[in-house]
Amino acid sequence: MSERPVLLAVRGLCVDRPDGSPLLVDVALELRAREVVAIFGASGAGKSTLTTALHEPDSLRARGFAVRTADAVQVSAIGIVPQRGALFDHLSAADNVALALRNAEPAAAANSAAVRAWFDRVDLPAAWSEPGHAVAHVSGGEAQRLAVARTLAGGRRILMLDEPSVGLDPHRVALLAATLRGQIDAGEAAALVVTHDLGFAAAFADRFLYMDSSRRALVELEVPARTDETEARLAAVVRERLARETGGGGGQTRAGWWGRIRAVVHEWAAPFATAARVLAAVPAALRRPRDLLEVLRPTLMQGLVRPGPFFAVVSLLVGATLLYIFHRALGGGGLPVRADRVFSLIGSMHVLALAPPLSAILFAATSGSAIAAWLGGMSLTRQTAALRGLGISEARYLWLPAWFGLVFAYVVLAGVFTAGMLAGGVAYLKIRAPEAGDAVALVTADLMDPPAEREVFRTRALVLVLIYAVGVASDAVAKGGRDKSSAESVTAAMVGSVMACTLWVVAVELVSLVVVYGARGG
Amino acid sequence: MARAAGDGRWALAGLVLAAIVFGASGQIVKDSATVEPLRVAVVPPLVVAGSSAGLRWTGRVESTVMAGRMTARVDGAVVPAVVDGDLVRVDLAGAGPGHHLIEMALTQQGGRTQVVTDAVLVGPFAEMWREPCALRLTIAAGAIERLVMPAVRERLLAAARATELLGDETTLERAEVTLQDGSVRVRVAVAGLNRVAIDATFAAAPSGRSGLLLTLERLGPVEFTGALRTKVDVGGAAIGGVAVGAAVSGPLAPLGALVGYFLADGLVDRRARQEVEERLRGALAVVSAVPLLPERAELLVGEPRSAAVPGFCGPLEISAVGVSAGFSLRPVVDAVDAAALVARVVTTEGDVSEDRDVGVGASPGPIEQGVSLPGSGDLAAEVDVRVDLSIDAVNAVVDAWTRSGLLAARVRAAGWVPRVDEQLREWTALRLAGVSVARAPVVMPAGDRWALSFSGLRLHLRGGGETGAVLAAGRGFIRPQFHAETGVLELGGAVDRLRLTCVDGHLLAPCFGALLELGEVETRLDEALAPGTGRLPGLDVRGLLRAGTAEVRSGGLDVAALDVGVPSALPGVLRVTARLR
Repeated sequence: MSERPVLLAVRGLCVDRPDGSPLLVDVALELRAREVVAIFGASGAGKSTLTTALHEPDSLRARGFAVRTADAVQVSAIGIVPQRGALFDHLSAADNVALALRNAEPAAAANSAAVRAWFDRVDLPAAWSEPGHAVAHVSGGEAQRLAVARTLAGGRRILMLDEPSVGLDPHRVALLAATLRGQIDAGEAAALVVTHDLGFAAAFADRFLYMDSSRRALVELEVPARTDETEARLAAVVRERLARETGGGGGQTRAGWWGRIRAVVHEWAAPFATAARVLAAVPAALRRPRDLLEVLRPTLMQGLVRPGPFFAVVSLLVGATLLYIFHRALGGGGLPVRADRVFSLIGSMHVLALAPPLSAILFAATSGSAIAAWLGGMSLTRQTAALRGLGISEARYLWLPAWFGLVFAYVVLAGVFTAGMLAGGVAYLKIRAPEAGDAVALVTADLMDPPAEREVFRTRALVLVLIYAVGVASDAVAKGGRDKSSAESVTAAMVGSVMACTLWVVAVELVSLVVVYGARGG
Repeated sequence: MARAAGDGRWALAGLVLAAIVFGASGQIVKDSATVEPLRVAVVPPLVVAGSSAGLRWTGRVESTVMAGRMTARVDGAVVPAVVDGDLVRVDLAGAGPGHHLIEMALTQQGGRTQVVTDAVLVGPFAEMWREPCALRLTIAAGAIERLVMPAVRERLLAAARATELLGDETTLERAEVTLQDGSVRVRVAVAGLNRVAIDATFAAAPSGRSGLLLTLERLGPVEFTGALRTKVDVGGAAIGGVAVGAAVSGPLAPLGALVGYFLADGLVDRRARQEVEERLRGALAVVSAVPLLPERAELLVGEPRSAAVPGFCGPLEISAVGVSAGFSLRPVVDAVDAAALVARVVTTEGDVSEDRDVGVGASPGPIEQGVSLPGSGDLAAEVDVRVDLSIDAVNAVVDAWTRSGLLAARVRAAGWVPRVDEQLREWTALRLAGVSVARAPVVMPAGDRWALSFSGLRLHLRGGGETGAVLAAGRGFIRPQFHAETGVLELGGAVDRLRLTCVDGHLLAPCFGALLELGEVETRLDEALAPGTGRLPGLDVRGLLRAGTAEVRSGGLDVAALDVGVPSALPGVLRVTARLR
């Protein structure tokens, strides 16, 4: 083994929890080519934290952990194979691999032949290499193999597998182990496997490590690899160590006030950071238009196409209802004002005043929530981790198209909402106030031909639409794109985005009015 | 820490971007908010013009784009306007004397119209102390015969019977008055104890301000027969026969008696004619010396400031059609008031005070259309009386009333200011503190009717947030209506245009246009001023006529029908024709 090249070597790795308590202390780890290392340990001992500290320490730091490394050598990029594969479910099976190929280092051809070749290597049906084969219904073993193929296709020689055998029957576990072993050997790769499956580890791994929560360090288990007794000895050693564990080392404690302040500031600043990162990623995204379109399509589907009819119906009703109220309150009420003059005075002011905020709040609650949930779901299912494991920037691949898709969707839906309000108003006038005259001309007056003193409201509406488009998109992507650890965190992101957007939309409305009337000296 | 620091940098970059976006957006909104609304500057300022010859109104519209969309109207009629960049020119060369409302309207989608209205008062202006021919009264010949002569005959007969020479049994054989060109022929024959018949022709002409000079133009043979004449003739014959017989011989005595008879008869004729002529001339002298018109008359009864001095004006026309006389009216205005036209402000509380802050330009005198009243002309068969009223006289009177403060007093008396203020308070935040009357309203011909136009009426509005003075200008029509049942000539009005404009120097800006439209102010005023509402004063023609003609006949004359109109050929004349009974 010693003649094999070292692919990953870490020494002096220390990880502290957000509350400052140590989780890992002076951990050392080495992975060589064609080597598979299995890590065992009690739940909460820090196995997943260790792998995360190895391949994306910044995500830990973002969550408040402190990560320090005395010395690290990484020859190849690290690829992640999360539990159940974390396949990108917005892509077909072939596109999962094609995405990795397109973003591989060095770059590789991403044609169907190359995809099929990778399917062959992991013993997946060749038919899956055809476009359109969804990943939603593949089995656990197939998903794992597809994920391995995707990771290897992405040029990753260091694989980190998280419970790859979960949910698989013993036959498929053995099959998966053989496949992985073959690919690792063939590709001069290495793998670090976090597992509780002793049989799988015994059949697959070359070395065995134990995460000792009391010592907060990795312990090498002296168990010979891949012998007939390996599994039995491994079971004995691991069970003995597990029995000695007190189990008191895991779990997160409450963050202190400083941590809470930081979390609030981070939460507040995240949309701004997201917008900046998205804009910075534009040049890179333009170099990979296929990636852009892959995410843009589902974004527009969720953010524009699905809520479109809803916006149309709601705005139609709002437009008609508002004029009904004005009509009854003014023209038909106590004021001796002719109905046509009421509508002439109102013009499109109700549309200019209400279409931007109403559509923005509605958009945040529908499209923004959908994208936040979608991104959150991708994080929860470790798809984003897998993406990062492929070396693909979330900001470039996911956030940018989601952000631009939302911006575009809101601009279109704001137009739909405006048109709906106008149509509702026209319908009301034609049905209930035909004496008012040309309904279309009346209702569109301030949009098409505003008086000089009302021009500002059209300008304001246009400016607000752009601000809301950028704002809602940034907020939804920021909250959705944050790493999620539970379903609740996904819904919390959705609700938080809607509440935050509603609050700042109302605030911007008020501020913009102050600006308008302040500029007029009033 | 690297990632946290990286996130911080991204957040900072995002915040900077957001600040730029918000800053730029705010500036865009501010720029848009500070866009100047529609304003029109009048260049050069044009308030009062001596005449319309070569007159042109030029406005500089604040936005060149808006200038091209302007619609120009003069007195409500769309007129072609020349647009040169931001300048809009309107030709006023054809405008007659009076107020002219120049409206510049910007019509936008949705039926919205912003209007700025400027008012130009175009002359010529008359001298303030002139005496225009105000009206001409024509009485039809048939009316004299039908309405006056029966009473005359009654009085003549009664007078004859009271004369000892004629006796109680006297009858009126003839009493005729015939109107001829320039004279009146009177033929009277009464028969009692004696019979007297006279055929005389008189001429009449105005004499001085209020007198009428009557002259005997011709006196025909005076018939005188009856007991007295026979007595004289017989006496003459006896004296003639005695004289011949005594001087010559007896056979010539009958000839002498015959000569004596004829001499006596001729003497009687001459003496009778001489007597009649002397008496007639004496009576005419007495009548001519009597002033027929009062020294001054209050046009509004009980209002001394409405006083005017009446006088005969122009020739007295006598023809087969009838008798036609012209009358002048010289408004009695205090010289101090007339010298400087001071605006009066009528407050909500009902006070009237001077307002020297209006600055809308004073007119040098009443507008003069140069109307000359027509003569009697032809009268329709059913017309007994015709009165032609000159528009110049009306304008002179209104001008005088404005200068004397009477107009402001009438506005106060009518309670218009508190009434309007009350209506405004009902549904707006506006308050009308007062109204300044700075220029006299002007009556102008408008087709087959007269229009009353005004400008420079400053409204002291509070609570509108508008800048500059709020000036009102407008035009309406006078709509008199005679009710045959009551005999009342009721005045009514119809609002044609009512425009409010905010004026700051010579910069005009639309203001309260939406308020006027929403409040349907013009419609409300129309309804308020319409005949039958009693908001404007009426004239009890029947009562006045009965009282004024009580001398002519017992109970006076009554008006059976009355018509008021403006003859198409005489736009400056308001003609009232009446059928009397």
